[in-house]
Amino acid sequence: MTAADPHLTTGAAAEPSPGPAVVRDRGGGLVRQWLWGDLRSRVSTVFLLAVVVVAVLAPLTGRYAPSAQDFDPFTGPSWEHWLGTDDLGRDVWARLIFGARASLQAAFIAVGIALALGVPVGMVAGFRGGWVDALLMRVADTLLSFPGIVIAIAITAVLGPGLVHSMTAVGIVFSPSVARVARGQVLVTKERAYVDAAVSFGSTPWQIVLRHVLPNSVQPVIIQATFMLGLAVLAEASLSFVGLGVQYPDPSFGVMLQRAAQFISLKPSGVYPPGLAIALTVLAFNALGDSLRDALDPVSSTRRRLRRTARRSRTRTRPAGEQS
Amino acid sequence: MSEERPDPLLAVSELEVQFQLPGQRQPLRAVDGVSFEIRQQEVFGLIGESGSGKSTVARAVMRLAPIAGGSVRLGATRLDQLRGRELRRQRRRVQMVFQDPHESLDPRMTVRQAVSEPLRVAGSARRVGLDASVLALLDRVGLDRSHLERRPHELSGGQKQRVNIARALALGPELLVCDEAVSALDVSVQAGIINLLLGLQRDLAISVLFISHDLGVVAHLADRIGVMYLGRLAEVAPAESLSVRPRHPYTEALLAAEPESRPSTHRAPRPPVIKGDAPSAAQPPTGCRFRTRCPYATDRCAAEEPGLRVVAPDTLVACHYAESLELTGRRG
Amino acid sequence: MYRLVLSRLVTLVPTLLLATFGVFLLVHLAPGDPAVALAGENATQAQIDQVREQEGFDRPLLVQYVDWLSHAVRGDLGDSYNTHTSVVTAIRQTLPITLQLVAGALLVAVVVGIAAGVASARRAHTAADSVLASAASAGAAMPSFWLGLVLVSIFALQLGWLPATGYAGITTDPGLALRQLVLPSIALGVAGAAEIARQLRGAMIETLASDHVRTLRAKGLAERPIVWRHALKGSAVPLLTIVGLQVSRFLGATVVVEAVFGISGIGTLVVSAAQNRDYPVVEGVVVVMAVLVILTNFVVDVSYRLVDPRIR
Repeated sequence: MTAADPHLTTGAAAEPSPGPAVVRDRGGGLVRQWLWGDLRSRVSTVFLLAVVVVAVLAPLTGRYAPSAQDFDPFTGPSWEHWLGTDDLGRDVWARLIFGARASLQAAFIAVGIALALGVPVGMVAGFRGGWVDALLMRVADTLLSFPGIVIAIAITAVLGPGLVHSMTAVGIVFSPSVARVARGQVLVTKERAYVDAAVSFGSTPWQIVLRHVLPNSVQPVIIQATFMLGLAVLAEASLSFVGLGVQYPDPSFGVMLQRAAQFISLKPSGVYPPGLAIALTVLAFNALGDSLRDALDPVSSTRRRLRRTARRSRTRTRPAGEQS
Repeated sequence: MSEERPDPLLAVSELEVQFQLPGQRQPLRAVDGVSFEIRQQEVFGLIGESGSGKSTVARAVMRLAPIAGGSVRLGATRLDQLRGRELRRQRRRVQMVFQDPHESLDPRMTVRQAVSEPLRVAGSARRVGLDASVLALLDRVGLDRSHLERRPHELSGGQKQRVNIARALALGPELLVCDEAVSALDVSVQAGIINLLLGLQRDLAISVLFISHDLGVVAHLADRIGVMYLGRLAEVAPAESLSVRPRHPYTEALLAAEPESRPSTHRAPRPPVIKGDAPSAAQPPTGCRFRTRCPYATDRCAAEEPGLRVVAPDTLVACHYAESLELTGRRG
Repeated sequence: MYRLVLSRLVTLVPTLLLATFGVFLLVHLAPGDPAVALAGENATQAQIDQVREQEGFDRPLLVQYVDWLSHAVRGDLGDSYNTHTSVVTAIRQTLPITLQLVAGALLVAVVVGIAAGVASARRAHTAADSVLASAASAGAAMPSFWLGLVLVSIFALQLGWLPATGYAGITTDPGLALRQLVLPSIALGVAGAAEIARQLRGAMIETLASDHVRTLRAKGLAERPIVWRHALKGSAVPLLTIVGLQVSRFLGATVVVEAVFGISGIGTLVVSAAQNRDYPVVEGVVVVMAVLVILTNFVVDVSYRLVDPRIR
């Protein structure tokens, strides 16, 4: 008896080698596909890894203390100060590194809280069904339709400003969408035949959830968490910019952006280091979210790959403007 | 039926299963008063079209579908009345092999984990003994050590179904329910699985409830066969006499619909084939449910619903004219 | 038609109630005593107690909510803890400014988004399309307030074409106001344009490949009207959805964009209120935003029906 069906090839179109048609989807293979699968994910992984390492080793890599004001203000890039100095003569690179630390911490706090709140609520809703489900999803949908920042601001008003409080607020704002995703997965999983089988062995509901529902529901949640890390970095920047997040003089991407904005007429280029840092970090998280989604769902990724190669070959043979 | 028989293993009496469809006021009566027995060490086949309720009967026996009425007795235990921990404990006496071999296995579990799961749930999990038990089970179904660490997507359909069977036997059930267990497999693979099931039934001295829409397969396997139509039983008879001399017009039609093995050799006139479409299960016809497609139907059939009654040794039929009709069975 | 509008209005009410109750609950479950906040830092215990009794903070939460609600429907949202003036007044001063900004952003998002979406749909799978797609994802990843800063840095400071900060208001000085709106609207609207372009491209590619359009082409209809009148109409429903979503997005992003451009809109109001723990103002703003979002959804919902009669 053969293990693999030879008729499972994809697509009939003749295209140049589309890469491995079947994903080695367990263990090391999965992670490798996720983080190293194509150029985009490689660059993102390297970038994020670099950011994390540099941020963790901030006291070493920063070269100066982020609060040291012993230098001339508003200088440009130089050998002593890679990114110049800011309005009070502090080294921008140092503040950026320590700021990265704060911003990453912030992102993980927010996503951590979103998961801690959203996953259990979503699972309960999916499992119980009925009016519990309907009520919880109604609340979630209502929360989701409002501008998140405003609700985060309201919660921060209640808790008080600061990194932890504001990111807790952001986590609360993110949790409904996590709940939705978790609930969706539970709904799908609980209909599966292997859950019926588990019931027939005499499993308790708890055993079923832990052994079958949870492991099979986890993937989309992780994908979402990756995207949310990027959104959380943006959220921290926004809240710190208006003074509700990390409190000046502590550095973070948002705080640096706010100071640079204040003195923009004196040093217009000051907005670029923190701004670029934010944008690149967000792009990197988004790229990893995409590649994770592709790694976990070979069908859609193969389709996308085929479309890309088809597009490439078509632009070579047909002039622009023609449609299929 | 005057023989003294030992008590049946499974006794289903007036079983009713209903489903509430969204937007409909009347519930769908998927199983509407079904009664039959399965004896010790017997293979009982349950056949019917899709919508006949046969799978629902299986799921009801497994307590995977809600029982609206009637009773299900396994030995002395009223399965339909159990709840909570007692239900979970009694569940191990009836195990199921599901239709879709792939869907019934958790894609994230290895063969070892899947087959040992029932043992771990039952609490009889001691590391050393567990592995030995799993290997013994795999051996029974024709798999070996090399399959232990594989996951479902690394197995063929037949192999997956073997794993399912091994898993179903793990708790030592008295009754094995096979719900279309070979229908999703390639024809060439079906024979292997069927023979495996027959061998296991013999060796382990268990009973099997085999659900299928394929009369040809069931006739091979079963000792007795029940024919379901639209939620009720039409006929229950030993497999041989059912094939050679059916007593219900529906059974006759099912047999006639079988593909011929040597069409050219038969010149005898064929019996009438079923006419018309299956009526809606939500609103079955009055009187005998089959009358709208039955070539022998009379006014009495529309007015009065026939009950399941004994018309020959070990044979029950639900038809007013069971004694008088001369129906044609399988030829050749 | 009227029945549709009415039925949608009916669902508005419970959502509004849910949202306002949620906000109320949130604020009143706060650590920290609202009586203290209102009485001020240096108040004595007696003064605090007096305030608590006056404002009724000792009553059960539900009673307080009903009381607040009954005032709210009459247009009274309470008084600010800090300025002691009416919350409604503060909102009335700042909301129109924000609305003008959002309108500007919407204009940018819709015009640029539709143009880019149509352009890339027509040139699907070509180099131009890839360029536009990359631009779109870059636009979506960039935080709008950073874009604002970059714009200010280039166009206001270095080139001096447009003013950097401040907003006069469209009624006071329309000429200046319009010039002041350009950069903030672009900053706010670009991300929206990127989203609209992306969705529209997808929808239009599908429509342009459909049998309906093929028939039109076979009948000899020129490409321009096909694209602009027929295909666009076919993509109207997803387009409306996206535009509705953007309004909600803009209301959020305006908080920061106003800070960048020194515009005293409702975003600035709620931020300073949050910093000062001025709960009535925060409550009031959130409620007003909730109403705006719900209204937007309502309008989008109704316009579905207008655009596509097949939708019930």
